[in-house]
Amino acid sequence: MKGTCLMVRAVAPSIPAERLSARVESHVASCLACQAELVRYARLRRQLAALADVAEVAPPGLAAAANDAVGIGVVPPVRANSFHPARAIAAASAVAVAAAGTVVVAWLRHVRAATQM
Amino acid sequence: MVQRGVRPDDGALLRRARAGDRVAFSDLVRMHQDEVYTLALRLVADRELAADVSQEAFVRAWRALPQFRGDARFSTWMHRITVNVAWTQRRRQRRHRADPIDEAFVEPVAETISPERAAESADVGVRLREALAALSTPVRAVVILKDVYGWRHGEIADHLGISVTAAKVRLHRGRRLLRERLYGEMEVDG
Repeated sequence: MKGTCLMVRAVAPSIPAERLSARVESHVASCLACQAELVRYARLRRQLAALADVAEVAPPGLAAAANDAVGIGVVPPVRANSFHPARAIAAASAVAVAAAGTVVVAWLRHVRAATQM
Repeated sequence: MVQRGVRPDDGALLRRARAGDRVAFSDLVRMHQDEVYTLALRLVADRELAADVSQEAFVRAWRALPQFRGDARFSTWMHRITVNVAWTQRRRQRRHRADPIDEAFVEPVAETISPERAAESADVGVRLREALAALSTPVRAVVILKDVYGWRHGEIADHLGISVTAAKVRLHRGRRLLRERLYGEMEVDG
């Protein structure tokens, strides 16, 4: 039986594309080791096929690099409801400076008016 | 690692991209980048090189987009381009350095998985990926394209520039090596 077992092992990687002869098939039907071997290959094929549904995550810069390479300088749309702390601080600073400027100008006008009187 | 979910239809984006809409193409890149990168990584087994292959594949796709007739799905078309780019990169690399394990039928250096190691890597997926990465590039490419992506031997042979017989032999060899790495030595009843 060892010879037939070896024959099964030799063709097992190509099953089911490779057909077993009737004689070898009858051997497999009564040989647990050969059955186990065929089950291992069937499991391997299932595990490989399952990889088709699993994807790696592309590196963060891939899409941008690909877009740059084809001359697409796409600026991502800014969401209306998005909050950016840096932008908020910059806006608040601008408002504060404007307010301070307004106060200073008003005070200067007030001083000038007082000296003219 | 992510499970692929349902993807919105590429049709509208493709039509716009074929008409020269770069933003639409950019959306296609964003939608397909994980899939393309995954295939590239599986073929070349090197993250940096896989990123280069993916980028080049998208560049070639953009250039060839006007000729894309829509006979196949965009993802299928991208797969073909990715395989071609990966193989071109491999040829370029082989010109610059001799890589003995890149030969078609050279057995990769045996890396036996000890029982302790096997017990540690209980995750079958991790062990399978490790076993795949240990295959030589030509053997791994055939196993990936046939058993993961379901390509026919003829398609594989065309894209890799080999005969159908060579593709079948590499598949046979690859499955046997994977089986040995994943399940240990073969047992033969006396």
